Parts: sequence; C-alpha cells; structure tokens
Amino acid sequence: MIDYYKHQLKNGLRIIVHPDKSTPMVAVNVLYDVGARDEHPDRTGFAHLFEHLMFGGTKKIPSYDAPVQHVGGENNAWTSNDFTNYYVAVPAANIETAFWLEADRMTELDFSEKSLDVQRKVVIEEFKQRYLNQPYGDIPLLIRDLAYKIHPYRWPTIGKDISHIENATLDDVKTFFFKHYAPNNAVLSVAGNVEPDDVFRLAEKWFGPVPPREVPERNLPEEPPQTESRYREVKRNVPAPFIQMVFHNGRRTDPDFYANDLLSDILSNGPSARLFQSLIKEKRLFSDVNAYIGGDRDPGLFTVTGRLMPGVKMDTAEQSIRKELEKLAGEGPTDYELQKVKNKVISNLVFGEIHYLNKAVNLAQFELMGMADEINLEPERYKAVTKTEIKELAGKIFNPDNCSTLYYLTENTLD
Amino acid sequence: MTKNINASPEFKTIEKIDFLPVQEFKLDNGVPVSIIKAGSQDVTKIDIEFPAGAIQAGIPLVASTTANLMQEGTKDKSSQQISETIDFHGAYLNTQTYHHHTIITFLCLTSCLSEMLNLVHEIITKPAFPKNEYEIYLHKKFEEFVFESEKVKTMATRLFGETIFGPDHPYGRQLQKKHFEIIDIEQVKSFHHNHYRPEMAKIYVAGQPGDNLRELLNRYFGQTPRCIPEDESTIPPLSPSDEKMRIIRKEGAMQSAVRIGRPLFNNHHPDFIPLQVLNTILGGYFGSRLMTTVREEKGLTYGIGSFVMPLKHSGVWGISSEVAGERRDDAINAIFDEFRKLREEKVPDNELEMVRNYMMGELLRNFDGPFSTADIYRTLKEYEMDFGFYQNMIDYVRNVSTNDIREMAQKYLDPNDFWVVVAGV
Repeated sequence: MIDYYKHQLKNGLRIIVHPDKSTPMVAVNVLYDVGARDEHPDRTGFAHLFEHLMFGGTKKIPSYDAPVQHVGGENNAWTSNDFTNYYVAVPAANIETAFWLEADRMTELDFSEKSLDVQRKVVIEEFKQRYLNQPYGDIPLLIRDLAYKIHPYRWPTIGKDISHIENATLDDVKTFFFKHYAPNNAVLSVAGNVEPDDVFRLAEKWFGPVPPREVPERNLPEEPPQTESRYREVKRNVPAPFIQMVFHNGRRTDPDFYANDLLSDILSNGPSARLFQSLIKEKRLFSDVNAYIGGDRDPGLFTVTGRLMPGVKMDTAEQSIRKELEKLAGEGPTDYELQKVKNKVISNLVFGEIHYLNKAVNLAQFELMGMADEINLEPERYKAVTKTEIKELAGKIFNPDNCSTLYYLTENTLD
Repeated sequence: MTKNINASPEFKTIEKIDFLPVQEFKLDNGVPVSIIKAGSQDVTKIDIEFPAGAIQAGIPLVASTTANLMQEGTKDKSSQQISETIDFHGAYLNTQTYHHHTIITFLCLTSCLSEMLNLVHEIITKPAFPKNEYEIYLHKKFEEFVFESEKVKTMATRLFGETIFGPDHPYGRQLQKKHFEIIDIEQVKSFHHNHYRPEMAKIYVAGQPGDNLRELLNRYFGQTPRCIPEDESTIPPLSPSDEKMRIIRKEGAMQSAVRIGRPLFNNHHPDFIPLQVLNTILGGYFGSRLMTTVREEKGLTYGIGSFVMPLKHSGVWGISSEVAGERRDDAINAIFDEFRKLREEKVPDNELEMVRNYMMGELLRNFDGPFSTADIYRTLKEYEMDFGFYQNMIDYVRNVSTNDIREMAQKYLDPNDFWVVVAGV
C-alpha cells in the first residue's frame, strides 16, 4: 500500500508525494510526457539525445551534476518510447537543492554547440556499446522495424540510425525543448522522508514561476492490424542462432494488461515456467528463452525469444515455441499455474514497495497516465484475472497472422 | 529588497551515519547468526555462507556448478518440484560463488519463511545431483560462456585478471573451454560432501523475519555438531605478466574495452581508506576526473569508472571503459594524464568538498535499509571487521586534506605500477 498526496500548480505541473519515514533520503523524480514515439521519422534518437543534453547546464547553473554531488546526492535519467524520466536522490534535509535544479532546467537550458557536440559523440558511443558492438545488440532495431509499419514504435529509443544523431542541430534541440519540456507536460513525484505540505510549498516556490508552454496535441498514426505473418532473416557473427517472435497486443492502460502480464509469466517467469521447463529442460532446444510484454502506452508487443542450442534447426526451434503457445491458447492454464503466477506478481509488488526511489518512479508513471488512483488496486486487478481470460487472450494474440519473426542466424546456421 | 531566487538553496552536510543495529547470536551448535531487523514490509532475506568458493574447489567451474546444481533435484524432490515450490511462494533463490565462499540467498515474504527454510535445508543436505540435470546445466553454461566470450568487455576482464595476478594464480585463473571437458560429476558430489553442511554455515538475516526465527534456524541449522572447516590452501605469491600492455584483437570491433589497473592490498591496510577517496576523485562517481575528461570533454566513451576491490589476500585497483576503437590511444593517454595531474597538482578545495559530500551521501544511501546494510555487514565479517571500519572511513573523509590526497597519488598512481589491457581494436 502506497499512500500519496496530490496537488497541481497553476502552470499545470502535477505533483504527487509519498512520505516514507523509514529512509533518511528523498527521491525527487520528474517525468516528462515525451519519448521516442514523439520523434520525427527522420530525426530519431532525439528524445534520448536530449536527455543527455539536460545535464549540460543552464545559463544560471552551469553544471547540473556538481550541485547534486555537493549535497550528497545521486542522479540519473532514462528514456523510453513513451517517457523521459529524471531522478535525483538526496539526503532528505537537502531536498530543496533538487527542486532548485529541476525547476531551473525545466525553465531553459544553455543550448551550446559544445555540449551538443560532445553529447552527440557520447550517444554514438552508447549506440555502439549497447547495440552495434554487442552480440545480438541490433535485434531491437530489426524487430521493431518488422512489427510496425507506420507507428513510431518502429524505432528504438537509441534511434534508427547513427546518422540521425550525427546530423542533429542546435535548432532541432531548441525546438524539441520548447515543444515538450514544460510544467504542463510533466509530473513531479517525491518519495522519502518528507511532509507533503513542505513538498507542495517548495514546488510552488521553485516550479511555480516556470511558464506553461503550448504543447502540441499528440497525434500519432495508428498501426493498422497486422494481417499476414512476417519474417526476416539476418546473418551475423554471433555464437548461436537466436529467434525473436513478437505479437501485437494492447496498451498499458487496457483492462487486459493484467491478463497479458500473467500470460507472459506463465510462459517464462521463473525456472518452473512453461517455456523453461519444456524447451530448455525437457527438449533441450534452447540455452535461453524468455517471454515478456512492453506495457507501452500505445498498443505494444508480446515478445518471445530463444537462443538455440548447437545443432538445433531454426524451423524446429520456431515450431517448438509455436506449439507451446498454441497449447496455452487451446487448453488455458491450470488453476495451480494461475495461482502460482499471481502469488509471484503479488510478492513482487511487495518487494517493489521497499525502495523509495522505485516508488517515486512508479507513482510518477501512474499519475502521468492518469491512473494514480489505481496504483493500490493493482494486486486486486491481478487476482481477478481468470483462466478463461488468459486462454482467450492467448488465442487472440498468438495468431500467426499477428506475428513477426526474426531469424538471427550465425554464419554457419543449419536451416 | 529582492531575494535572489537563483542562488543555490542552503544545504546540510551529513555529519554522521546511523548504522542499523545488528543482533548476533549462535545456534545450539555454535553456527553464527546476524540479524538486521528493519523495514516497513514483511519481507525477509537470508544469506547462508559456506566455505565453498572457487579456491577451495581448486578446479575452475566445480564450485559454481555444485552451488547451482544443488537446487536441481534432491533425494525427495525433482528439479521441477523445487522450482515450482520457489515460484509458488513468489520467492527468489540464487547462489553466488566467490573466491573463498559461496552464498545461498533467498528473498521471500515472511509468511513463506518456514517453507523456504525447509526447502533450502533439503537442497543443502540432500541434493541428488541427477546426471541429466548436470548435463543440461553444463551445456547451458557452456553456451553462456561462448556467448559472453564474444563481448570485448568480457575478453578484457578475463585478460586483465590473468595479467595482474598471473594465469595460474587463484585470483587470476580464468574459466576456459577446456574446463568444461575436464569437469566430472564426482568432483561436484565430493565438493558438496566436504563443504556444504549445516554446521559450516554463517547466516545473515535482514528484514522483518518474525518472532520464531531463532527456533526455525535452530531446527534446520543448529542440530549437527559445529565443525570448523580446515584452513584453506595457502595463496601463492602473485605472478603478474611481464608485458605491461596487452592487446587482444577482435575482428570487426567498433569499440575497444580497456582495463587499466594494478594489484592492491585489502581493507586492513592503513592506506585502503585514503585510497577510497583518491579513487572517488579519479573515477568513482559521475563527476570524477575520468568521466569529465574522457566522456564529458572528449566524447570518447559512454562511460568510464575506476574501482577498488579488496580480496582476502590481495586487492585490485582498476579502471574500466569501452572507448571509440579508432581513438583508443587517445583515451588511454587521457587516463594516464589524469594520473599525472593528481600526482603533480593539488585537488582544488571545492572539488574535495564535493567529493567529501558525495561520499558521505553515498554512505548514507548504502546504509539505508536492512538489505543493503546486511550485505555490507556480511562483507565486513569476511574480513573480520565490523561497522567500525566505516566509522573510520567517515572520520577520514570528513578530515582529509588536499595534501593527503596528493601524497596518496604520488605513492599509488605511478604509471609504472599499472598494466594496460585492451580487447577490440
């Protein structure tokens, strides 16, 4: 149970506070309603590049990091297809420094060529380190491009191509900032050793003067339903072949999200799960298997992956996965199985309430999606899922026409 | 009078850290138990430490295989029954093998503690080591090994260990393909028999374990007579490589993984704490010298850091980064240039002030909550220390001068004492 207090400033900034007196720390989290899905198809990777620039200082405060470290804090940020999130954890007595810094960089950045030039290079190295110079690293680029034809989920947050980052100009950067960074496009969440009234007072003091901005209404193209199975095959210098299958499913805010989540757990959460027991232990076809959902704000993907054991043909591997999915769609889970994954989700929700930073990030996301009231209802939502729902959902999703399959072959794969 | 709204707000420096209290007692047979009881959730984490590390096993792969295989079937339960039990309780069980010991850890809701302890006891005392599970495990492990070996950072990490300690030294020895052929299930069984008995355990509990913990632990770990395992084999002297710079090429690599480092001492050495401060300045936090120069000024990497790692009979001081392949030498030169600056020039007062405050904040975060506090406590116990070590660190951090730091840099940042390892281009 996470208790929280809410408030909204005149400029539109939404504030949500969770007091947790068990820690001497406080997390101040600013979540902006902008992600890679808001990028222009010819300027991808921008939301993430921009996240780097948010640490480049402002006209008033030349360094963001130094004052945080100076008051004993730590900070970082991440970008997804839907969000850009910034957090700073400081000793609770120094919370005001975090407000000062976050309000300042929400107001305006010091848009400098030097900072852009360096961060372009840093992000290119990140692109190489995580996606290009890593076995299987380019899968997110390949699979999204196959599964989505028009929706901007067709590129990953790092971007479609390094050249988009190389070509980013200072004008692009400025435009992006004033379009998306605004109090009326953000949620401020605070969790830790604080009193809600103090937080609201500080928020008024520091964020109150930040002007609201005109944030254009989001108008993203809807991905048309997929009507044919799609395949793509690549060869790479990797130690073992890999298969990735993705199926279109729903949004994080759809009522069947909980059934989707449990469906993926039945397949692969924990060593007793179906894919692990059947495909790794019993049939010994894979050295690794996984199934997971994205939980995205627009209709997302249900993903199943496997790394093949030596000598296993790709076709055999694919059929073995399909058979497991069809079985679940045909018979549904057992009572015991469903109870097991519910128990696991519920204990994970409890584990997730241990850390103040985790709670701050979760609260911000729920509030941004307009679901804060739901956060404590999550256990009930999971408990309410039935076997029939799971079976029907599996039948609907695991349809071959709804599937994009990537064969990631080694130079000498058997096929 | 207008107030300057842009001035930085006032802040407080952290004067002290409150360590959570540790309750210690012994089970009926003398097995030591430490409990850190705190937290707002009814959740318990238990670490059970056995003297069953890679060094006791002598042969690579045996210690970790034993630890992992114990949960793949007992005399009464199949591998699947065990994993079903763990998953049904929404619990997590894993093992971690280190040089000198293995730790079996589980995390669960306190309401499932009794069932989990029963299961863990069964895994420890009655593993069956089924042949087919052994084969599946090793195959899977081998595939992971091959996969990891493709990464430049793994290649560099392995070569770095061999380079600074020597390829045959227990701290330098690396897992190789051939070890998967040499290993034998009988080695695993015998290693288990000699190193995993309830009476050899050290137990660390964190969270809200409830009132009957002592009774539960006694039931499972307090019955058999205490046995202090024989002293492990001695650690030979280090035999670092004669080559100060070693490169492994990887075709098509876009980045080079770079490791620069030297053998060190452990936390009993009087300079260990001073070096923590120097290390933080060099590469221990986001605002460090290395991050500032190599990432934020030159854009040669996504990340770079330095670390000090104590070992029971040695230690490591290392720098690690993946850098733009074509500018690898620029990056290495920039790193050594930071060594030079720290030896020649005093750290500015404001930088030291920032590092002081950052380190105090880091300590506050590390000692926040029962789980991370218990991890720190367990590591201290390994070195026969207690929280007094961190109290000393706090006292040092609060009083260290820029002269002290330069002195440490002059003593320990001599480039001739360092080895450079590169994997990639």
